[in-house]
Amino acid sequence: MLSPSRARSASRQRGHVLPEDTGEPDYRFTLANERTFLAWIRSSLSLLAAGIAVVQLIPAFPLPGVRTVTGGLLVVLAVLCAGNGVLRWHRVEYAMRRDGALPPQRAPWVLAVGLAVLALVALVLVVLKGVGG
Amino acid sequence: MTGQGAVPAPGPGGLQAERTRLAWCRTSLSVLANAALLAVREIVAAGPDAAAAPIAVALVIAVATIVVGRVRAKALRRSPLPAHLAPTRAVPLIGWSVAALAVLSGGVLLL
Repeated sequence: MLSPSRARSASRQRGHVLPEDTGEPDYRFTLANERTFLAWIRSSLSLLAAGIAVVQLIPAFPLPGVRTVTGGLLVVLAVLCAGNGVLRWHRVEYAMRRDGALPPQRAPWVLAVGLAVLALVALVLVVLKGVGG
Repeated sequence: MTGQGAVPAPGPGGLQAERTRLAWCRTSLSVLANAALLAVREIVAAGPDAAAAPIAVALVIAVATIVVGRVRAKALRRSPLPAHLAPTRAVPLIGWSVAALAVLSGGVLLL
C-alpha cells in the first residue's frame, strides 16, 4: 500500500527513478484495471447485502448483541472494500502509466481475517443451535 | 502450457469491451439487489422512516452505474478507441458513492 510519492522515493533509493508519465498504457490493461475496480465494488456490495440481511432478515441469534456485531463487521468490511477499490485503481493506474511495478496490497489480508472471524462466529452459532436444540 | 498443439491464442481484443460492459452490468445489478434488500424492512414497517434514505441513495447509485456502463460501452465500441480510455471520473464517483451507501446503511440499520 505505497502512496504514489512514497513509491517514487522508494524506487529512487534503489538507484532508479520511476520515469515520468509515459502515456496511455495498453487498452487491455486499462480495461482490466477497471474490471478489477468493479469486482472490488461488487465485493463491497455483497458484504453490504450480507450485513443488511443479518440485521433485518434472519431471526434473532441466541446470544444478545451478536447480530449487531456481525452486521457491523460486514458493513465495515464493505466500506473497506469500496474504498480500497478506488485507491487501488488509482495506484495501479499510476504505476501502469509509468511502466512501474504494481504496488503491493494488504487489503486481501484484512478481508480474509474479517471473513475468518465471521466464519468462526457462524460456527459458534451453529454449535450453540445444535446443543440447545 | 504454451507448447505446440496448445489452445490457439485468443483474438486481439479478448472480448475486452464486452467483458467490461458486462462487469458494469453486474455491478448495477448488485446495487439494485441492495436497494431491494434495504426495501424489505421499509415494506414491513409500512411507513416512511430513516430506512428510506439508504434506499433512495442505492437507487440513485444504481441509475448512475447503469448510465456510466452505457457511456463506457459506447466509448469502447468506437474504432479507434478514444486516446484517454481510463474512467478517471467514473471510478471515484461510483466507488466513493458505494462506500457512502455502506456507511449510511450501517448507520441506519445499527444505530
